[in-house]
Amino acid sequence: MHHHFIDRYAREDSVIHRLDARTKLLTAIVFSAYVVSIPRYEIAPLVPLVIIPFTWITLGKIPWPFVGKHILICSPFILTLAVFNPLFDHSLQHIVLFGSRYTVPGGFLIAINLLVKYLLGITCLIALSSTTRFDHLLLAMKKFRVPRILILQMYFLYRYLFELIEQGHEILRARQARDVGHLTVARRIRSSSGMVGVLFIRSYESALKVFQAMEARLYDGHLRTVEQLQFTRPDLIAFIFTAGFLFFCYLSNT
Amino acid sequence: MNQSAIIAQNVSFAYTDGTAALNGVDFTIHAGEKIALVGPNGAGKSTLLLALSGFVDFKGQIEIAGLQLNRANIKRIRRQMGIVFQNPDHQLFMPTVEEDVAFGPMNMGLSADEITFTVAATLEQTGTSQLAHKSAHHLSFGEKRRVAIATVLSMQPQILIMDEPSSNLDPRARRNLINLLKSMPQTLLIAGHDMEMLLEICPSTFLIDSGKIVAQGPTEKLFSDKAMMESHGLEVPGILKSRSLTVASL
Repeated sequence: MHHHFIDRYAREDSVIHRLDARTKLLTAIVFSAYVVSIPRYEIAPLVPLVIIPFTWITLGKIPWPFVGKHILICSPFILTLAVFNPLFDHSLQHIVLFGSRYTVPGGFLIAINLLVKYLLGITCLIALSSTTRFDHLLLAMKKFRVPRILILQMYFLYRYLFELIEQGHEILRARQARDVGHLTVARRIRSSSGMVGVLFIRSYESALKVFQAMEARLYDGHLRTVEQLQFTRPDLIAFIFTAGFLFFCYLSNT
Repeated sequence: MNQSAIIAQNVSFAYTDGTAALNGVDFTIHAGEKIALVGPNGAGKSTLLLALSGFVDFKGQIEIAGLQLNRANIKRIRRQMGIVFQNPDHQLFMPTVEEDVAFGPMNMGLSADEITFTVAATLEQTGTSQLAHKSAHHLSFGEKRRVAIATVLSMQPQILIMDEPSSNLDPRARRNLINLLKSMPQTLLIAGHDMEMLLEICPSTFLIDSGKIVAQGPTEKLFSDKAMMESHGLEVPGILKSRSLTVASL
């Protein structure tokens, strides 16, 4: 079975794909930090920031329906958070829209602020993961001195997540194949807990086998990689452009 | 006589619940030999392979490539002997095929140029060069199997042990695997139930049951012994049955 959940477009070729993973990772971090730093009642400063993920996705040739689908997948959680804000924050805030001054509830502004921040953040994340191979991303994290154990965990999560999902599907299918319509909710819940247990045991056994395979090939606790990253002139240009744009946005808001 | 590749003397192992998996295993494999290890389920085949790789604390003596198998020698032995596990997904843990094949050589401390050369040569040998930049989860089962072998071959071991290498392979992938294994100069110990494949690759066979080597000898002779095979939960391979029928009709 072939899986393309996370990295479907990461191996394509474009000007963005060719950038060093460190440039993209650093850009995403700086961009996200800037987005998060915008005060909660402010919306206007967030609008021009759309340019960065929009440029990234357009130049990276990532289809917009793919981006939209992934935004929707993650949105229920954030929508729930946003919807409750007007109920808790009853303060009144003044905003200026098209030259006119309005008074609106603070909770409403926070909800919109949250949604826009979410859209910017998730779009940036989709752009990053769709234009950067996961192994290059981890290599970039290694260069940024992210703790080794965290990188190792992410390596294995990426590698075995698909196997785990597949095993989960198999177990679920095995139950469905024997479900002739008499499975009550209580028995369904009970069998689900058994399924989770089986999945856990299989994962544990697989982890032991993987470790044996690593030891058999002289693993000593250091994960060595062949691929090296290269920081070139386009990386410098991309980073200066992004940093310059964000700095310009910051100056405009102060 | 050839130099001994593997010598096992009175090797025993019991699981923590007391179940004896190996019960005084004795054998010698000479360098360059290709040996099949057959036996019913639960006979101890996989446990024996794990013992030979130093993954279980056995009793007895094992000597590999002239080195006693113990903690002090284990790293040196693993440079000489590779193990291919039954499930290739356990063997392929790096983000790309190339990284996986390079994993062993990098841990051996080879230089960058040597690694590049070795990886390219191994991928070529196993017919997987076109997969170099793919992730393991994008490969078919047959491709995974060949890459799993490549990950071990890249360490240039003298000895290779394999656990059911042909399981779950379609006929074409199985044929490719047989051709690959036949072409390899290494000492091979292959555990499995694919009798016809083993007959084709391995001139000699060890039959293991209840944790003991109960018979050993030329593969064709041993596999033709219907009484022996059936008494240990095995069957005479179809190809040998048809051969004996042809001889009888002549």
